[in-house]
Amino acid sequence: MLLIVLILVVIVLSIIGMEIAWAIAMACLAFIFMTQMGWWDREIPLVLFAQSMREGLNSFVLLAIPLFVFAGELMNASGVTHRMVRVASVLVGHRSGGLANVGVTANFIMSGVSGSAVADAAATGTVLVPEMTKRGFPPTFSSAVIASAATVGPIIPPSLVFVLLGAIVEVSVGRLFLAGVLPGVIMFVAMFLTTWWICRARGFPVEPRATRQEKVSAAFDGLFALLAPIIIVGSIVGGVATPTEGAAVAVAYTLVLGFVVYRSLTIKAVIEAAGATAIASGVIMLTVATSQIFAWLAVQARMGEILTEWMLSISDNVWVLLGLANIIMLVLGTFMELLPIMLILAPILFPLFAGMGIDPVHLGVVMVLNLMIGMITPPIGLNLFVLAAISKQGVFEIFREALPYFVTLMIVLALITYVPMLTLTIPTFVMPK
Amino acid sequence: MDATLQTLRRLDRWAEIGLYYLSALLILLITGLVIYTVVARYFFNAAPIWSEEVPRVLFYWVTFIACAVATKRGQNLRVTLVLERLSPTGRLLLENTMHVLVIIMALLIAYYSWPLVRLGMRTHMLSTGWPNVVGIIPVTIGCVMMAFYQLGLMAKSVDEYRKARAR
Repeated sequence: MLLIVLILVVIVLSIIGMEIAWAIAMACLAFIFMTQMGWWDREIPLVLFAQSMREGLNSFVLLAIPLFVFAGELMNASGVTHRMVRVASVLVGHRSGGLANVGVTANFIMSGVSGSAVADAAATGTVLVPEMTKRGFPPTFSSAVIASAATVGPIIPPSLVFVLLGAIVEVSVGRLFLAGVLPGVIMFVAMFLTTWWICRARGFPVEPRATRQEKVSAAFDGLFALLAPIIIVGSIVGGVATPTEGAAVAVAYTLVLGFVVYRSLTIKAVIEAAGATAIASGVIMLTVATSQIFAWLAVQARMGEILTEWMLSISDNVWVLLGLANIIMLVLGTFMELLPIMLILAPILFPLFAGMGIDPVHLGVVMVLNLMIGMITPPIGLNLFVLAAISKQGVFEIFREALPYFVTLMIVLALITYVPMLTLTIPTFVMPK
Repeated sequence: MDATLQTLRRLDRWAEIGLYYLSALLILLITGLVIYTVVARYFFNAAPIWSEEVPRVLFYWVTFIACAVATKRGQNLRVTLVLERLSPTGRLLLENTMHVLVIIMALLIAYYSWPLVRLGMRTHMLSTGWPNVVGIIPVTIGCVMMAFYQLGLMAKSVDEYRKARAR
């Protein structure tokens, strides 16, 4: 009973517009009050809630999140987004898909820099949606392409979501980063082909072919930014730096890039980027803190056991259970934001599947991919909201255009879920346990 | 009366700007300290003993100060799909009910964090020797500020309601 209250309060309050962190806090407080009124076999003191608000942030690994956000903000301030779009444009703009596939490619390249789907969607959407609309693409379609393409961000390293997941389930962030590479490439190829097919069928325009000189100039211009993920992931995987230190290295590299190579950064821009980072990460961290309390209460209310028993009553076949876990995550992903889902489900699902022989790194990629699909499904799909704000179009209209991408991502999800080799090959070779 | 109101508004604006730049400074400080740790460890083989503790304390502060600024600016993560479809009156009622709930929650957390603050005054961190309270009090201060800024959001939604009715 209390468990149902806990979940329903979050879903209802989130949908009616309460700030997500506070919607989760409200559910937790409602739960705690009910325990104090004797609705449960023991009482949970309110002081525990206050304590958990801080303890939820008490992990050095979590510090990587503001630092990665800062690196992304600095990249944007240095004009990296425009450079990435230019690289993508000379590479694929002249092929069927035109600017739409420039958006898919730019997001793929950007994902190696920022690590956040929402940040990528906002950065590339601001540049590309108005441009695509000018060329004759319907704004709902342009928004759908960018919203879907940005879901690759947290799969390709560096990834904020993998850092958080690594901290929750105590899995190597370096291995998670490596495991995301191949699935990220598969997602990119699948979405590129989907766009190619849609644009060809609907007769959308293509860009003029770039000259050799333009190609060389764009490649040279984008080269240093393209090196960023190699340096970041290399420092973490090579054991030189922890994820937090790797994120700090990313910031240092971006500062050098902005001040020395591109000469586009100013002190004022750095301070503004730091301010924007503080707010973005503050909002994320408040959600993380309240979600951790929620997760703890869910465990106290035996959610793990109830969910496990229910899943095992349906089947004891690990592959059927993985499919079931996918369905649960996808359904929750349509109603809830990704952080609470991850913080609630990870401590339940990881031990269950680890006991069945599923590598946590594989499950981690499957989980993040599920949550990314949730970002393009209404009513709560953050990428859809970001693009709706940019293009001034309705969320449901954008989702209608995003349906082919939704189907594509579902196929990729099935592939990643049932072919573990796709996620585990690279980490097994590069970073054996 | 008008002059007092103007002064209060100006103070409020300055406080917001001050908090924003303070949080920016904290981010820069955290970044600098972590980079310093990496350099000290790998080039001089001498990582400072406070390398984890100090950035972590700054992290608590930046999180709660920035959350307060985000509240003031209405930049918290939320879904406005339902709100946008409501009539001005319905929107005002729902928005303000939610703001009141958040104020109550924030003040409850601040109140119940007080025993922890008092406990934190008597205990100390391992590497720096700082009292533990420096890592606990950001929760209390942050929640009080968030509650205060929610009041501002309530005033803003009343303002928006008046404008919508006037149109």
